[in-house]
Amino acid sequence: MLKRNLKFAILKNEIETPAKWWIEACNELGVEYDIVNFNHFDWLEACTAKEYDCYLCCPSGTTSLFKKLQDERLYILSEELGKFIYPSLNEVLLHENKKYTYYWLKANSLPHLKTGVYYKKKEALEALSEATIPVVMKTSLGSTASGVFIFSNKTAARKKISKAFSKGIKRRIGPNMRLGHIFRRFWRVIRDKEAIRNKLMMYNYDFSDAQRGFVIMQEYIKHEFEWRSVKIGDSYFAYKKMKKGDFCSGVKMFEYGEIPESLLNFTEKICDIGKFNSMSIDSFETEDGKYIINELQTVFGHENPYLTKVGGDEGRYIRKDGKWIFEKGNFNSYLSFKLRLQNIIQLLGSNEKI
Amino acid sequence: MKKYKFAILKNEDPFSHREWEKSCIKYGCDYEIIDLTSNNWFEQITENNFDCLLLKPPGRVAYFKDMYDEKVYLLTNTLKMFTYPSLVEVSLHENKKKTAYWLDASGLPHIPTKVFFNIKNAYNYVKTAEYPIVAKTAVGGSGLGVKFLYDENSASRYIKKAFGKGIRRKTGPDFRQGNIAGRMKKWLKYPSEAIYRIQGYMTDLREYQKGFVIFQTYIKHDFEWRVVRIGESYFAHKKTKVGEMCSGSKGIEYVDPPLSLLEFAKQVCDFGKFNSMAIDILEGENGEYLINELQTIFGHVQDYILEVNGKPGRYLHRGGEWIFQEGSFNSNLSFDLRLENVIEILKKEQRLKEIKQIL
Repeated sequence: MLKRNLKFAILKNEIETPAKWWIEACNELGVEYDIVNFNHFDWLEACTAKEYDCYLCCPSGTTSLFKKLQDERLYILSEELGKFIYPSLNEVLLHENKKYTYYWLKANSLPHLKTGVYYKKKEALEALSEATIPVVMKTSLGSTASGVFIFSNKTAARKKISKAFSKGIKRRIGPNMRLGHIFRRFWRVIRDKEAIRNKLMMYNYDFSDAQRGFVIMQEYIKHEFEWRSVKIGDSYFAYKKMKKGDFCSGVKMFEYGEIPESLLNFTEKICDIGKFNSMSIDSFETEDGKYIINELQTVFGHENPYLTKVGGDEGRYIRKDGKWIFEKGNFNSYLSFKLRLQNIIQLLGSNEKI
Repeated sequence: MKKYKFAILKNEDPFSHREWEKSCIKYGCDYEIIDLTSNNWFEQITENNFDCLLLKPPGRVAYFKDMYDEKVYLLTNTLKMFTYPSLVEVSLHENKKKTAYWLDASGLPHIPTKVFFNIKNAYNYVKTAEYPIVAKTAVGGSGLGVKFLYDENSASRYIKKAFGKGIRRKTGPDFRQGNIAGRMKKWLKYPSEAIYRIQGYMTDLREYQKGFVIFQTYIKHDFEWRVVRIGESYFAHKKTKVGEMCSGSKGIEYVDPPLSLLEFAKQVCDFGKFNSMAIDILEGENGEYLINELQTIFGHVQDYILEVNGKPGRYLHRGGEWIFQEGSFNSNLSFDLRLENVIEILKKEQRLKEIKQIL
């Protein structure tokens, strides 16, 4: 059934993708929408020109400059003007901000990796001298492990710290070699002018963005895989991100199967505390079966058209009468943006069935 | 009476806690100084039960400003702690972008300001803009990041630089403030402060604002009003122009402020729920008030910020009337008055709690 009575504003950022998925989801569900260039100087006039039921955010993770632009403008929209934005302000603030994520996890007493955010070079060097090898350093912004550095000797780590407090640290620039299939990927991109343009633009963003004045240091947890669990509305998903080299993120090796109930409970608990509607949680599993949160992202990509597959069936988990139930079906189309949109409509209290 | 315990959250400036500390000593309050740039800030704050966190937001280096805002956001939003000034006041402080957005959203009269993150949009704007344009950096008090652009060529050069190498604020001693000899003497008396100042100038040299421009409409003026609200006290004076600017010139003219100006400031502070705010206001062509800038913490060279007929004092709003009260209310750079306000708020809360318990 088409839904004509709701009107949304898609807050397009500096790249095409998140907005593109919102558009496709809106078209699929027959929801009216306007596209607002959120980076434009007249963003506020455009946002307030009409009465929108919800503002569909495209949280930015390209550069710290654009990330801050989004955070500041969404704060005004959500907190000062009281508009309904999706994902919520807190979800957006946590997105691609490892500093704030760490503070937030700590403030909520949630299990997380031992992390230090150092704004003083002396403190960072002292912490390094006391740390056990390997040491992980991360940039605050940077997905697919592009800003993650693992040091197996302290001399290299010391150099990185010095760089962070002078010129600044840059994330990995250029193609992600860990993904492999270099020639196939190169061939795919080279045939598509738009793809070339987008890739070069992204590399340029990475190149222009240096993190200066602080370092984030984290303990290294020995692991063979990382759990990615996801909540969108009432739907829960999870799969294993397998390790290739030193990393699980950005290598696109996945393992699907039944999700342990303890992980679903853990994901639900975090999302309840944060009042999250759309969140992916990367966590490590300890030997005694406990989970330690590594990262949180409100919007994320996924290589396959599903996030959960049990016994060859795609689907999701939902809680029914206090129990976790696996429900077969395709719930992650349009990079899960359709499910997000269905969640928004549900939150808006519409009685019409989608 | 309850003895209050405060945490003074100092910033990267090693002397940034001093005024709050002085006030705490004066009013016999317990306090701890916590360096918000240190790695153990969280434990230091949460392991104690503070009645209020006394803030001193920075305004020199963008990443320290971001750090301060981020941590204060967590303390107030997630941990529900009481801070003074409030989160909104702190986040608007030394952030001309966010101030522009906030003013746009508020509907309060202000000088039109545009923030461009797109170079093409910025070039298009300067093609048709009325000159001069006032270009500002997001961070930078005392008019240090302000540049007047008189034609399209200079505006285009400014844009090219902002989206290329980046814009750097002026640095070094501000000679517009005069009294060079007196300031030199002070530096010699307190060498550690002098060293910190020089380090600050070196930091300024490395601070570039890159990737966006802030353009403001130029409003013809000979002076700017600075109106201040701290708690229930209101102050105002004129900042007179030296060269092109009023900010940072330290040219001050004390006059009895028009009551309409005080009303306007009250309206702004009530709207923003501001307890400690300095509002810089220009008068438009038709005499209307236009907000130029907002700063929650500000310096003042004189011992007072309002003088009426040669007498320092403050204005109070009582029973719908503005009443001038003679006296010295701005000691210790007005931090004593701020702490009085904090104590007043805490007492009020305590009274409310007691009433609730009785009911």
